[in-house]
Amino acid sequence: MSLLADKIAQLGNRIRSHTGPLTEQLVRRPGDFGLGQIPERLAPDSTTSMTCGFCSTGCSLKIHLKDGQATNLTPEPNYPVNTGMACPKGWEGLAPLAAPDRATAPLLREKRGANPKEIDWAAAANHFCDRMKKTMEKHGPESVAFLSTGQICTEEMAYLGAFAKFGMGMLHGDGNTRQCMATAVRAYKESFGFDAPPYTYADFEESDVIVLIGSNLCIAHPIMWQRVLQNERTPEIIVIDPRKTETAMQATQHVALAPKSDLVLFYGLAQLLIEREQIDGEFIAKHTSSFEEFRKHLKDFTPEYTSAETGIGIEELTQLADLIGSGKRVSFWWTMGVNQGHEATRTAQAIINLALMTGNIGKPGTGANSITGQCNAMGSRLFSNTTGLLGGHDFTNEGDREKVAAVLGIESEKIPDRNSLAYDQIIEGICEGKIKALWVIATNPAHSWIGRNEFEAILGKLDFLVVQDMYHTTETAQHADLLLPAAAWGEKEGTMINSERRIGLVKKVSRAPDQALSDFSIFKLLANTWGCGDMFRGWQTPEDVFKILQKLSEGQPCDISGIEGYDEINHVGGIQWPFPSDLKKNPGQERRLFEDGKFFTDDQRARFIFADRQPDPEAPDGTFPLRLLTGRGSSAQWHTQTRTGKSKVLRLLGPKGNHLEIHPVDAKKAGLVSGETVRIVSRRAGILAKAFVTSAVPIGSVFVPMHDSETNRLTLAVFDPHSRQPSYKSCAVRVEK
Amino acid sequence: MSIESSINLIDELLREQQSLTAVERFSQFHEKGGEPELANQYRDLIPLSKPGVGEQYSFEVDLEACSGCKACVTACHSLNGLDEGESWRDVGTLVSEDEGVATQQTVTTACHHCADPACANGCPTLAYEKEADTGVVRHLDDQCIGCQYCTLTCPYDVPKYNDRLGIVRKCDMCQSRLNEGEAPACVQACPNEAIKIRVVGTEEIIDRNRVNSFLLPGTAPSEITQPSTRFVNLRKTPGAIPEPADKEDLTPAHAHTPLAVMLVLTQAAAGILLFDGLSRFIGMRLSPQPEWHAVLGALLAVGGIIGATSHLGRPLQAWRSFLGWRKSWLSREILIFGPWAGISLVYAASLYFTIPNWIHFGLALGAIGAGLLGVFCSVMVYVFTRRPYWSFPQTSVRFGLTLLGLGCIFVFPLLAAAILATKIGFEIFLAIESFSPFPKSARRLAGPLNRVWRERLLLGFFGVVLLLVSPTIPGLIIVGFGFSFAGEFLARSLYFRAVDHPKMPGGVNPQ
Repeated sequence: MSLLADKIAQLGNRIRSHTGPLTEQLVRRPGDFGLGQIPERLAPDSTTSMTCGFCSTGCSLKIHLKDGQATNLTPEPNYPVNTGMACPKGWEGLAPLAAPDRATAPLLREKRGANPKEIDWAAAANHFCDRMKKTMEKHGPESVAFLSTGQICTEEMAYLGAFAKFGMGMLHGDGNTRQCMATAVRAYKESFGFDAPPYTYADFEESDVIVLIGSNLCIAHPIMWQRVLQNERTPEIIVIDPRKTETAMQATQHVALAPKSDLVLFYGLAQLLIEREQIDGEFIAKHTSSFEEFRKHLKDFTPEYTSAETGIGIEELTQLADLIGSGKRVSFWWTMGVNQGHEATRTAQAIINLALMTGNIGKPGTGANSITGQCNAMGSRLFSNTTGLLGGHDFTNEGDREKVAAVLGIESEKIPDRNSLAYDQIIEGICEGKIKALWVIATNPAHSWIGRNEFEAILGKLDFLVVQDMYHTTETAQHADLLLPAAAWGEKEGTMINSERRIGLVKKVSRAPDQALSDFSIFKLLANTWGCGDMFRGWQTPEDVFKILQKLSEGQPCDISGIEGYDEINHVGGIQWPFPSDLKKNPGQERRLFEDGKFFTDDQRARFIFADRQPDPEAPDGTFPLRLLTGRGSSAQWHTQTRTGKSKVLRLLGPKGNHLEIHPVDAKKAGLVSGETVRIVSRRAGILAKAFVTSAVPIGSVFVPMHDSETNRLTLAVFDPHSRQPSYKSCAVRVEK
Repeated sequence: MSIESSINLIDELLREQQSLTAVERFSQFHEKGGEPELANQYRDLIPLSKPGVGEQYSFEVDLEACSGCKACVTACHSLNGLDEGESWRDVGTLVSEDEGVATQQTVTTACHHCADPACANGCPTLAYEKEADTGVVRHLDDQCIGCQYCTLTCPYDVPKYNDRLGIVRKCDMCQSRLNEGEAPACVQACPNEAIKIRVVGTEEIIDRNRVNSFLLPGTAPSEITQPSTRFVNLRKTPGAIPEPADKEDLTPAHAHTPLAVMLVLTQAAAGILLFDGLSRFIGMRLSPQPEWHAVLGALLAVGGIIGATSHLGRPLQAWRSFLGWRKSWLSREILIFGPWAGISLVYAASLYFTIPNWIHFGLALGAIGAGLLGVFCSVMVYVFTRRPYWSFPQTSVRFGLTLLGLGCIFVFPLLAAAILATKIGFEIFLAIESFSPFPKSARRLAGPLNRVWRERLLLGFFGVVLLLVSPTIPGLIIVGFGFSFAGEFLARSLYFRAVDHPKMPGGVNPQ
């Protein structure tokens, strides 16, 4: 009977199948490892957590492993940064590793325009060294340069910087961090005496007033926005941005200032605070210098002038000043809207000044806080040996050189006694024929460089272009004479430092394709081939290098000598610097700087730094009546999209092709409607984009996301004179149908 | 460095690169089983108890809490082990303009687990099931034959076709997770707690949909399927109604080429058989009716069935398509067209044999009747979707004129020319944006579909001209039929591609 019943059931299932091979594809089962249910097909046999490789938030991702190989991931619940959440990029962190256009072997192009041919690593390393040596012999050490990144591990950056400058004898090397963080670095160095973002993410939760300046947190750093939402003090959230961004939509107040009027706004607010006696006199007297000069400087920034320049009414200005000067906990957070401007450093310092004069620093829920861009921009700032000497030191300081030389066991003469050219100066050097060979590591300037319209021609002037990247298809890699295939995040070990100074681990959870090698191994191989293997005898593994970096950091504000290796970082959920060896044990997961009011300047006082307003480099005029703003398009897109473009799900979440946001008034003038394809023309170039009419952009301005490779054909190559960071956020354009 | 040691080093580096070290050194320790680590975070976002009688689970989305990070989409993809590019959650944007004040809200949406699901009501194979205890609308993947009809009947574009598997898949509200007290993937992943699961009574759903006739601006009337999802905190300003950001998007809809082929073939066949029968048996035409007319009709009918089958992701399972006949017009269409092709073949063949005339007549009646009934079902298949562009008048005029026009070409070529010309006129009228009740479809025809549209007009025009002169030149009629047929095929393709229908909001410049 039961046999019959089975048969009937089988027949029933055949007519109406509730089960079967297709249904089984999606079966979920308890995943163990604290995961809850997960797809059976991808069930792990172990897990490990590591820091995400996209942005500087530094979320931790729990990698699901099967036989040691990553099969899936989920955000790590037990990590102080992201507490079990991630943005779409993090969720899709593994997808870019499996892309079909990974670089799998070294490629050599024998002639420009010829197809590149695969060669072996020995030939590639020899070719690299031969060409670089010949160039340096013929044209001198200043004829070669490297452009590095904020996307590789700290140990790798240090190896690159040390090999290039101490081993090869290069003078010039910079990173793409110049494009995003240089302003904050410079501003902090001058104001605080060290490049020291003072905050911890808990400050988002402990603020009464959160002021976001040029920061579209909701889509640029979604997990930081989560921290804002976890604030239980019902904070005022003020977004200062010419555009009504996603974040401005979520804010309690949007201050839509006129583009390029930020410096005036902050000086105007400072003046109001002084007039209304809403400053912290005691803090100013005890912990700062040059306030009197600053006060004098502010005299001209009357409410009337400020209002006229910024387009913000006096009443709104006064209310804003009242909030900032209320004595409540006020935290200021800025991102690229500030950093990427022609007077960016002074603008960042104007924000720092507001925090200093109201005593909003060194206390919970306060700070003048720069939110970094790339996952390891902070590692690059301290240890890439580009702008500064390893470990936050100074190339021009003899004592620093000797200290570093002693730690590394090299002669101090090997260390250059002058600073490198900045990114734009390196590009300029190529233009002028002074720089003949360029080594580009994990960055894509042929897409991202400001005013890149000429960039391909500039690359053409080089005798030798080496690109080291995980893909052979990036806009830059396609011009390479020699392509070195790199292993990616997740295929190697090392550390990265996030925005709040937290050191996190990257682990090897996936096999690199074919002959791709970690950047660390590539540097090791090149150093050996170059003949300076001895100099790096102690640099066998990333962790060896981490120990060297710890030693280099001793006595510095970024002292991390107290960390007991990778295991401790892994065990405690990331470690914020400083972490000196004499720090008390278990110092807490969320630490901020300057709680004692002592800064890193010689007199331990923070400095008020200010300057006159600089003229707009390219104001809109009759021929080009609109101002082009650029920025993040969506949370699913990362910079030049070399990685996010590889995930089909992420592609679905971004726009198709380029688009232009334009105000209804300007759209009417141009006679266009949403959905129409238009031509955006600047003095440099013209590009096509689809129009989207919205008053989220102010009248007179248009917005284009930065992720399309065409966008930077339009931008104007202007730089902040102090930080040499490009001013991506403003140039004049017109829109044609 | 010597060559030898250099090669040794490279070998070592490559070997080292391939060894995965994370497990041995950093693998995490966890007790087997135990509560998920995220449980505390999502406990308040899911109901404490299971739905009772007359109740079901539903999504509640707080539009104000959503900040547009879109993690829900990727979490659904990853936590459900879906294929590349596949996710059961979508995001779009609502925008509004009120005197220079822009408002924007991200809308995250998945299956609405409707009280009266159109996917299930239209499915020819009963591959959908509304679970009695949870109200979850479950798709039976192994039951699906990949006809994709549900992708047309669902007013919210929820079921999505998976090319690799040849079936449709959709959100099951992570039912197995809910059963264990775990939150669905999207609920777990939202940093802002914008997605919740609520228990709701069926009556409440219907009442709610009566008060708010639409889920969101731009969506289909909720009375069609009674969606259970609730969107709260829609941001409205006094002077502006939010609109989908992709309102102006003119990206054409899916072409469904095999369906267009099948429809035109079956309609031509039904028409040819109709006029063949009329002239043969009622003597509408005096000259003897050649047998090949019926043969052509039968062959086109068979071609139509083959065309239809090629549309299926899993044609071998097509036999199941009778199961849904009680509700599904598609099931009925298949049930009728299948035997019809057979009858038509037998009828055509019978004409070559000398048998009693009443048998011929009976077979003809069967072929004609089934053909017309089948075409009526075809019309209803599209009417059932409730898409205005595919309404009964729209669809019946198009399909009917194709049937009559192509059908009478060989019997009354001039009448055919008149009918087909009328149809072209009708299409032209609808394609003029300022007259058309479907301005967006008109814009598609003038925009991205313009080439196909012009080809359709050209073919149709030549077809009509050839038919008009065909009585004077023998043989031209076949060419005229070819042109007209090709023109009708493109017209049918455009019927699919130009369709505009209410939908969930899409993004700015969507993929």
